[in-house]
Amino acid sequence: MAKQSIVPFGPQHPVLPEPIHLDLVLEDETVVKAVPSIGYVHRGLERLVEKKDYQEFVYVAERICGICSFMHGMGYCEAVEHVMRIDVPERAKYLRTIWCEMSRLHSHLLWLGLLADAFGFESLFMQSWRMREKILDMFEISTGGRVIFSVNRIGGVLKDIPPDMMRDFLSRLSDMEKDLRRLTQTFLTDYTVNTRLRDVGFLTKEDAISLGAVGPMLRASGVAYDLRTTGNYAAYGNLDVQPVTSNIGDSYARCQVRIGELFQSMDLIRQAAGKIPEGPLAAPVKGNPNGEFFMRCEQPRGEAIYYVRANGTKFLDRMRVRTPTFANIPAMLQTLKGSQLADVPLLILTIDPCISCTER
Amino acid sequence: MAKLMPFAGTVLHNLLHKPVTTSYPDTPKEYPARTRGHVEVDMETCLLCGLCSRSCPPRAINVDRDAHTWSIHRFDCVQCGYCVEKCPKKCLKIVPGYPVPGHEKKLDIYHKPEAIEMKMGNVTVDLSKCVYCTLCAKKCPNEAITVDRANKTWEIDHHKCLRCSLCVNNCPRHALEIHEEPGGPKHPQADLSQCVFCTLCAKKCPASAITVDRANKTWTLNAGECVSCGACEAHCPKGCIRMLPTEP
Repeated sequence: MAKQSIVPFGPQHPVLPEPIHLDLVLEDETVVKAVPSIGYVHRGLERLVEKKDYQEFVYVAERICGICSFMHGMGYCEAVEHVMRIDVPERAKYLRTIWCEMSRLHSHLLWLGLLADAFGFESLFMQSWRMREKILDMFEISTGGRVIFSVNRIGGVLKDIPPDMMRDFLSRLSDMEKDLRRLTQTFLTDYTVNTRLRDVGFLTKEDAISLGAVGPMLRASGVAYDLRTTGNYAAYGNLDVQPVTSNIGDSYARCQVRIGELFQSMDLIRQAAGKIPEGPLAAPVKGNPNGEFFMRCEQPRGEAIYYVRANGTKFLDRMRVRTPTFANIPAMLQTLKGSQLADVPLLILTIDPCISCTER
Repeated sequence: MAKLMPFAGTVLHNLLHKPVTTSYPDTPKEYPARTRGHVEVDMETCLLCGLCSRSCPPRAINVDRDAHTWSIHRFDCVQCGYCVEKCPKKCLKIVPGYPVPGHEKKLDIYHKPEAIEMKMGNVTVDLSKCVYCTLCAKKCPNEAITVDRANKTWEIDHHKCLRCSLCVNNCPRHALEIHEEPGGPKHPQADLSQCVFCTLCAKKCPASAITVDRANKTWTLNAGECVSCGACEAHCPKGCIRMLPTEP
């Protein structure tokens, strides 16, 4: 057996936008074990439920993370709406679906850019982020914000997407789709990209299930598990959603699944725009919540769980989020075992880590 | 060829086209109409009811009813738009254009025009005029008024009442009146349904006038000791203490 050495990785590292620390146990250049430590950006947002009332807390919930901000706000709102038994208007549900899918588009494009940056393909990184900018513009036009949208409220949404704005968005999306098809060909067929991604970081189907992986990480290992198919939240019940999966299980498969989901999101926005009914944007809210609820939704990174417990006053007892990155860390450690040191940054990136979410 | 160099098309396209970025500040950014840049207040219509200040998630807004001012910490404001949603008179709006960067955190203070007479005080009802139409309850921004049409009762929760006079102005029978708050010292009153008995008010009280018993869940004020400084109201984490002039 070769001599073992420990190389610290992070919390500051060029490939990481956010801090996570790993102790990599190496034999020569092969990783035999990785020990993670988190907690560098803990902000104590969950405890703020004791200080902010349940309606104000929507604005705290959406600040858990800057990428899935819409879905954090929506997940919290839906949880409280279930506790209070509020019937959310159909139009609000469709609008939430559209904004959810736009979030997924911008999150996956951001990830594709970071991936290209991680293997040193600078111009591909810029092209991916150029596409993402168009989605951010659409967010600014419809919600007034590029990162934090503040359109969710308990009972519905605050802003509408009128028909002419929707038509404009759909034409922007079809322009984008042409560009995107050409761009994603590079990720999927380029020789250099393939050598970095193929056969790197295998995660078998059995491991993915037993380690509790979620989202694209799980679907890239051949498990068709996507909470949107359950149709339990927003308007997904009325739309045709098929999970995007791949049976390969390596880094290439994770890239493939996320690219597949880009086109799936565009399709879902079109479906929702075609079916969106007229009607009010929000239901009136009376009284205070009393009870508890577990709400699950499919974020770009995977399944997120929101737990809310209310006591009949305007301040909640407890609010807890289980974020997808937290669930994917064990699976990431599994893929690191046996990998080369040079592949470690790429492998950490393939779970699409969001440390702000994880630590809140 | 396409398989060998799938990026070549994008590279050629970039070489032959203008950059997608604009050079700021030579080309100013055009904001969409909905951009949440900063909060604006129309002091002509503002009632100084304080609902915006109490609902503001980062507590960036301050309303001083005695000095007739509405002020905002631009650096604390997160442009969420919750105050705009809560404002009963719709005198707040959120408009494009971000606040100018600065090197000091200063307060933006807006004064209510002197000419407008402010009426603030306790709301009372003349039940001989009241027809229990519930319009006052509907207009109340803080759900302080409860009207029961069947049993012909009209109740006001003085704790919740913001003394904004919206109910008085909207009463079709002129049954409601607002009495000017009497001068003299104000004393704290606690809403025990919200209180968590954290004892912070008792600790902050300079005169030790407040006694909080966590075990028996009691909150008592020794009015003789109270110096009416308002420290308890300012420090209450739940916002359940209000400084009120008289026992309602």
